[in-house]
Amino acid sequence: MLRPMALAAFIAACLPISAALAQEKPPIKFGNIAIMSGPAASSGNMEKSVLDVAVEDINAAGGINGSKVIEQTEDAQLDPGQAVLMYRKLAAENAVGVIGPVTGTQWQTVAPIAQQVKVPAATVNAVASGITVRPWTIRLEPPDDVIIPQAVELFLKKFPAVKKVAIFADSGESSTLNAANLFKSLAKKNNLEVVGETVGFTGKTMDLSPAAIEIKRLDPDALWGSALPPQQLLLAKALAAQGFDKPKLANNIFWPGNFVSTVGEAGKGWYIPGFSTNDKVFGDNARYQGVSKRIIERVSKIPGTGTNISQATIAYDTAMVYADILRKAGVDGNTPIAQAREKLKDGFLALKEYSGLNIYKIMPDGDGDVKQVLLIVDVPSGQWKFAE
Amino acid sequence: MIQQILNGLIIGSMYALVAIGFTLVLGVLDRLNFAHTEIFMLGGFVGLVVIQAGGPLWLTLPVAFGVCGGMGLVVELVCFRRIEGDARITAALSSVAAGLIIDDLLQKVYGTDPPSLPLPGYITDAGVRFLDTHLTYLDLLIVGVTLALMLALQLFVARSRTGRAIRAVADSHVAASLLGINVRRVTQQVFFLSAALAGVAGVLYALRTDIANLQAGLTFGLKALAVMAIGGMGDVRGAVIGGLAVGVLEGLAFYWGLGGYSDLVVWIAMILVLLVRPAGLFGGGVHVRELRA
Repeated sequence: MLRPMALAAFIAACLPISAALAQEKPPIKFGNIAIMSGPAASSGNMEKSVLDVAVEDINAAGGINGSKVIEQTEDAQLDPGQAVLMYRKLAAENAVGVIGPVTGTQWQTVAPIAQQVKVPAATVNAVASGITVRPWTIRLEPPDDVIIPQAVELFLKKFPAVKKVAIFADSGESSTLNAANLFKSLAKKNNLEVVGETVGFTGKTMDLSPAAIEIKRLDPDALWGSALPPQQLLLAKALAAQGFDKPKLANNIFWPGNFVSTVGEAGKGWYIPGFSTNDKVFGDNARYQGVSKRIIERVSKIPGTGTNISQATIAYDTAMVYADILRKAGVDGNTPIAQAREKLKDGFLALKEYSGLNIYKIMPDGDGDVKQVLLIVDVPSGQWKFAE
Repeated sequence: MIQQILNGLIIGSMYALVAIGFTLVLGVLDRLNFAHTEIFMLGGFVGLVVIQAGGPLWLTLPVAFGVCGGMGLVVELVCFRRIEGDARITAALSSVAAGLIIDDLLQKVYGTDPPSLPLPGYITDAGVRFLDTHLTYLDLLIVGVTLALMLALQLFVARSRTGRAIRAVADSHVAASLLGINVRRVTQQVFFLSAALAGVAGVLYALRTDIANLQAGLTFGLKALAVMAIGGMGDVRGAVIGGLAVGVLEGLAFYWGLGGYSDLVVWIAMILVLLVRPAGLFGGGVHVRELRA
């Protein structure tokens, strides 16, 4: 009589223990390569904050098939060599996939290596065209050769009287030079006159008043081009000082960062292509605003990082893409790492569209395509807003 | 083209102010102070602090003069005083480190994106027309302050007792010491003056570009080193003329469609000048004898 009861009691005592054991699946690690030190550290702080929020949300939804997600951030220091080292480090330390690196040069260096190392990677910030390498890498953000034609079309629709454009470029950086050349060819394709030579300068040029004077001298109806954010800011201010008030179109290389909050009145008349601001997006605005509010709360505590999260939500969606793919593939923390990486890579290849905070189509070359609008600087708030 | 030339003179005057500081220290003390460029950059942030605290625009200049001059004294104490004799390389390297520390500390406080200086429109937009060119009141302020400081320096070195002591030390530390001149004090005064001028140049540059830029020291400030070499190491007059010439050449590079190469202008000019005149355009040596004139 006592034996069945004792057995039942024993089993009952074991149940909580086995349940606890069953819950403790090993975590799944997402790697993150960002710029955490040096002149571009604010971008890295922003990206890490966004990913922290994404990881929180993934775990709040039960993780990935019962496994929590953890994130490991490594500092690429704006150096492609360092980006490669950090990618290999994350690969060795069992990251199932890597988010990053940022910048075209770093992505261009890591993407081919991902094919050998076989750890999936997705950049969230590089815009140079033709540098994503299948099948082990993906990029949700559209590259320049997708964005810039859309931007030009929108701009000419808004300013149909434009007949002459001048082109500017940070000629020391290949991504900005390529973007400026694309602007130039699109101007010609649209039967616009390109006045003068491309007004070039480099990242070492600390006073762009000569460039502004030259642009004004060319007397275009509009100004198009591309420069890295520090020079973009200097140029905007120099043009304002010269009284150049024609409309200006650039690629979205300074969509993230503090340009929008620092440029002030000099930002008037600048248009860039984009698809989200701090509080507006094409998808679910209520959800977007909830997430962006949490991100802003975090980054506002980091000195010098600013609160322009408008482009940074691509990093959030990238983490969600990883989680979605791995969930659907039945991966959890017990899955052998090589197998989990293969599943993620297969998911990259199968991905055709994704609706997260933003809505993406994925093109055959692994780059994203998102409907663009023109964004302008809202001077009072120091944030981007959709142009009317 | 006129506008590029006039604009180049304005930029060149800021190069000249920074170059004068380099050349003072080199000419009088035979030392190269690489923290000088970061002190120039620091000047911009001093100006930012004054403006953000609600201070009037004019106050940025004397405050930068004083604070950056004080930083010059710190650099002299930490990097140069204990390193005597022929250990010039050691002292120069030490000053590189000091500059990097200044840069890093500012980055920790302000982050990596350049903060904006909120300036009133009456100084950045309004101005006068000269030779069919619009010059803002800020442009005129930059030129005015630069000319005033150069003139003041010239008079100070030529006519004041301290100036005579500086010239004596420039000729010979030993002889000056034997004559009862406190060489250490003169060294401190030179470092103070040199850094103060760089600080004022830094404020003017920050006012002109509307931002306090952490990268300014390495790029803009380093060009002033080349300007010093072009003008003649140890020659203040050469630093001024060299600075103005480089500023104008950079502007003309944009006019000729060579803006992408404008940063090379100063370095190409330096090599060309030194090939023809190794002592620089006005250099008769590394001492400031010319200041007596």
